[in-house]
Amino acid sequence: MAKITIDGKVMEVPDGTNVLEAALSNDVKLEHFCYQRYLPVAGNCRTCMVEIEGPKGNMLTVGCNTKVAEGMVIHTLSPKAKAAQKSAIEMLLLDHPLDCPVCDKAGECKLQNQYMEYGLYDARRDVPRYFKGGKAEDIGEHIMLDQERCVLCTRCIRFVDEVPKTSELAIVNRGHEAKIDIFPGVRLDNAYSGNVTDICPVGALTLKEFRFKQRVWFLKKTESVCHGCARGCNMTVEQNKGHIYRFMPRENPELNKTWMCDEGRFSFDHYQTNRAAEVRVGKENRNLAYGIDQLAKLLQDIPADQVAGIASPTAALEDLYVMKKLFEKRFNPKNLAAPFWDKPGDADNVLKVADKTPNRQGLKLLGFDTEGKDLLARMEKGEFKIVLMMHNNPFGHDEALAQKVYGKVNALIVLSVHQTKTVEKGAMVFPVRTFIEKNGTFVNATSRLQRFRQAFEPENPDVIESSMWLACLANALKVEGFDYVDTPSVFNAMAKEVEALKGLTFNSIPSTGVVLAGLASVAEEPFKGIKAQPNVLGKKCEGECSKA
Amino acid sequence: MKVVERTGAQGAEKFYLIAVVQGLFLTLGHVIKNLFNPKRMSVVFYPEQKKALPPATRGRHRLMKREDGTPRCTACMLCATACPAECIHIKAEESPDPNIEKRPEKFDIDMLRCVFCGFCVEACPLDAIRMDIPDVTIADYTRESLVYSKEFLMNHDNKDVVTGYNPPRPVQLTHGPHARP
Amino acid sequence: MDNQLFTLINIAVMTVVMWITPLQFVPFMIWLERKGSAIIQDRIGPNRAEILGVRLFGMIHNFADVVKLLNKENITPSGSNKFYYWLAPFWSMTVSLLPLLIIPLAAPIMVGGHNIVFQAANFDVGILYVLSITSMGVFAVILAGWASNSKFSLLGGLRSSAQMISYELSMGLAIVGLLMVYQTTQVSAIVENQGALVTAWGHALPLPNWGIFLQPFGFILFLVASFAETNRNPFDLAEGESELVAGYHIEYSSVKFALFFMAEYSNMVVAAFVISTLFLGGYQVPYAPTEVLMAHPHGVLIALCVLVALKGGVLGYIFQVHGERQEGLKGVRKAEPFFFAYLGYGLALAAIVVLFLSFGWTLPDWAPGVMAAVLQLGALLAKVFFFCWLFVWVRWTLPRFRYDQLMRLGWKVMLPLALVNLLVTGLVLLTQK
Ligand code: SF4
Ligand code: SF4
Ligand code: SF4
Ligand code: SF4
Ligand code: FES
Repeated sequence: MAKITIDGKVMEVPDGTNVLEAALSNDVKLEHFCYQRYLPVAGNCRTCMVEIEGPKGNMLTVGCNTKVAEGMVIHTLSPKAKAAQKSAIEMLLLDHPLDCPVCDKAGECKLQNQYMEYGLYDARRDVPRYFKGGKAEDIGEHIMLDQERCVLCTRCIRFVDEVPKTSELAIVNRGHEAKIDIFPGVRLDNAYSGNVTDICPVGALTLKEFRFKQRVWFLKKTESVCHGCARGCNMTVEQNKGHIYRFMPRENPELNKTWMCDEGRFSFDHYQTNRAAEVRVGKENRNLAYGIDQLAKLLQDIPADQVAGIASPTAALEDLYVMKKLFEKRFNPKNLAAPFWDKPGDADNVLKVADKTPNRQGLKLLGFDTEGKDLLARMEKGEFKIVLMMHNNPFGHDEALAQKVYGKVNALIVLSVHQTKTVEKGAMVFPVRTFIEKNGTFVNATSRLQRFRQAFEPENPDVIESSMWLACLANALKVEGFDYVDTPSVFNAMAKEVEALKGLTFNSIPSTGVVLAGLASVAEEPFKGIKAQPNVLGKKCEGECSKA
Repeated sequence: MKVVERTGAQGAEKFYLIAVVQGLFLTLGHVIKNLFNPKRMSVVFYPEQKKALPPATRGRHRLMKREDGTPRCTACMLCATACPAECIHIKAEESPDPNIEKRPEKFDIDMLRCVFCGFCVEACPLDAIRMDIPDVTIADYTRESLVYSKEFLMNHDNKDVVTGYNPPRPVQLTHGPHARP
Repeated sequence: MDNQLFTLINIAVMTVVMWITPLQFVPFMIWLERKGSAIIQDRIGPNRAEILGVRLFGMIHNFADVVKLLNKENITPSGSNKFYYWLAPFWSMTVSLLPLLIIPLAAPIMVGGHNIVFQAANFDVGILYVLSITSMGVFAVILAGWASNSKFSLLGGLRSSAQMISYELSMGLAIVGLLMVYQTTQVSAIVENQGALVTAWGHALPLPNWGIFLQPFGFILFLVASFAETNRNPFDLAEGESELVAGYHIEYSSVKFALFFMAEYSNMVVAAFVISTLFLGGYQVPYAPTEVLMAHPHGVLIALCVLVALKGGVLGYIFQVHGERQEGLKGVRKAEPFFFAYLGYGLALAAIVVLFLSFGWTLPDWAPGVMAAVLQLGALLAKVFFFCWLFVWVRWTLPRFRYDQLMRLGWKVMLPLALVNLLVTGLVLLTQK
């Protein structure tokens, strides 16, 4: 630990921390372009200039590339430092097109913010602006490049060099003609390409999927967890009036840092298209109360042993818990399993894992049988009249097999987010919420319990959380103990019963998640083989991390 | 809590009848004067007679055009952001010209909600929207026809009109594709 | 014709006439309200609705209103008590039409050996009948307020019923003073009494023997109370728009609303009739009791002609200046006021011609009675119109009371004053004995 003073504030930071990181982690404002917490330091934008007291007088230097030393005295607000910061910004803005009205970054642009914070000068140039050209260039499947807006911070280059290690980008030319470009014949098409648009501090790199769709200041952000694979990258859901416009990675130093893969990033549209819309009973569309009522009537006359439950690794922990509890109290817990016939996807040593479901570990945690061989064999023999199918889609995964297995079932009760093939086969269908529309938890492949929060209410009030739906059914069947008000209350009840969750409440789960002891990890840690990151964090990121 | 003593009517005034009678005579005076000399009532017989609109009247909106007839608007949504009535609905699209980049695919103003505050005009960085068509009686028979489309808003001859709300703008863009002509 | 049958027909005709009189007044009152408020506020007022270009100074708006109200959707709120909800407007209207039956329009006259009365029902209990009928009006308000199942109308109904009950007390007490003076409750007797001059302690004073002079306090109390009873400004808290939207009739639309609306105005007309009759001598022409009028038919004729000429002239002048005001207008719109102006002048002229032609002629023997009756009817209507105007005038002059002020006025000011008034009246009467 080193004891340093920034702007008169005495603080202790770990050895090897840089001055910028020390300032940021102690709430001292210091702007920066090229520094990104999880990328190597470049020190080329010069906006993080600070004044450091030394034996030979004070010196100006960049904060990002200066490691702290015991007793260092640093000024970020001294006239000299301010002047240096200001002139650095003036330099960056010299040939900037300033077409903020059409620029998609406006509103979250570092250049805009810094000008408002530190600049606020009138333009001093008296020669015409140099037009670099290169607007709206299509450089990749998802990425558009505007070379005029680029401030040459090289964050994007460092990213493609360091993380996916594909190195598609480089600076070409020199002097005021220098610009970012792709190598000839190469396109920026790696599996993590979307991240360059997040780290680009200006509007030079933009996402085709988000371009011009919505202004960023209209977006409401909700803390969430990616549903795309068992890694469970932390992210925010950004939506306006119930329409999701993008997923953005959320900083978690222990998991995804500030990255996420393109597959997960662009999965947002999946959750708002082809949704199961109406409660269906037989052939008619009815409302939820009627549906639950009919189902309760149906279940009343059937022996408890002839009801089976099929859960799924795409359901939240709470949904699984309520289902299990319902089967324990009303039906036979032996008739409950979670066979999910998806095919493994591609994996890499960065973030992606092969298991493309978010919560298989959760199934294990609650003791679900994830194969269900025995249950399916009995199903095939026609032992079950009614099957409760939660978030599972056997007909979509393997229709022939599903037909064989579920062919003898009288009534398939389907809880589904999407309009799937299984939904078409269902005798009763209840649309339920996606993870974006509800609160809940997932357990990822490395046994990290992570919380996601509800971003908005679905339009149709009959679309409720699966856990709440199950509780409604339990109440309709007059089973005691299902008086949950919302998903957090389910979690809190579950935490009292499940050993691994003891002592947690829904709101006390840290926003970066918590590793569950006693649940074996089934995947490698992320970023395996990728060079150890050079930057020592000034502080462990807990809860709200400042966006680096 | 602070108790404020009431002030006002005192003594004879408290006996309201006198004040009531005074008030009655005041209004009676108006009645008699107006009956026998109706010219003193400053009334404009509206549809037949119209007053000239003052120069700063905020009239009907229009979208300005470039020389080639395309909208000057770049769908930056600053007007929609400034609009307190949330009545501007813009959908942006990619423009074929990379120098313009962005243009409105849809630009609707819901006149049923508009409060004629003029914020949209002041917010626009490109002088693309103006409220200077001297039409203040905006009425129609259907709701749909009062949601003005881009085509309707651009249906004008692009001339400068003197009467109308066009606040001076501190910054004039002189360079680049979005400069004012 | 058999005398009894004649009397029967006479009564039947008068009943119908008195029944529809308030209805006749309603459009006039509405017009007076609109035009009056406009002119008080230096406006022109309604003048747009027309039939073939004829606008009748905004009177046509009443027809437009009728058409509009009849065409509106007749809503019955789902949570309401249907029976009472529908009963309320009809109750309100019916009750407001009844009290006029006891008002005499003129003194009875003899024509061709038949005695013609101008009063539908000459009850002994006269005034009490008015009081009892008008106090039934409060049921309509309570019913409407409660049965609509809306908190606004409930509050409105609550307020106005409390208000009506509070002010009914002072109203009744104000009338008691009158009864003590005239020693009768029969309305025709009270009106006859008012033809004489005031006598105090044996001396005749040069004042007609009207309620307003005998009971000045009683008059003011009664006037204020009748404003409150009719729910008019400054006592129209039942429909304090800013607080209760429209008060007890907020849930009513279409014809049902029209009934409430008409009832409100016919209540006003009734109040105007009652005040004129009780306190301003009813049909009595001041200083000229019925016998005097009968004795001087020519004088009556001159008076009638002069009055018609005056009225025609003044109205004609007003129409003319208003016609000239409408610059820039064309066609019927421009011509209409002048048409009415010349009609007025023509009437004035005709009156003078009649005067000159008939003066000195021997009048037929039914003429004195009829002319006296016409003059008396005119006198009564003049008083009634004045009070109608007063209702409008006050509404557009005074602001509305606050609820607590209203209650304080009713219970802490009006009631004690009414009692004091009774005491003083009693003492004065005692000393007169
Ligand atoms: S990069 Fe920033 S400053 Fe540049 S045009 Fe875009 S928003 Fe404006
Ligand atoms: S494109 Fe963006 S991230 Fe890349 S160098 Fe330019 S400004 Fe930096
Ligand atoms: S005038 Fe005001 S309310 Fe109307 S569109 Fe413009 S900003 Fe919106
Ligand atoms: S502010 Fe101007 S340029 Fe921007 S969207 Fe509105 S009209 Fe178009
Ligand atoms: S030089 Fe330090 S952030 Fe760019």
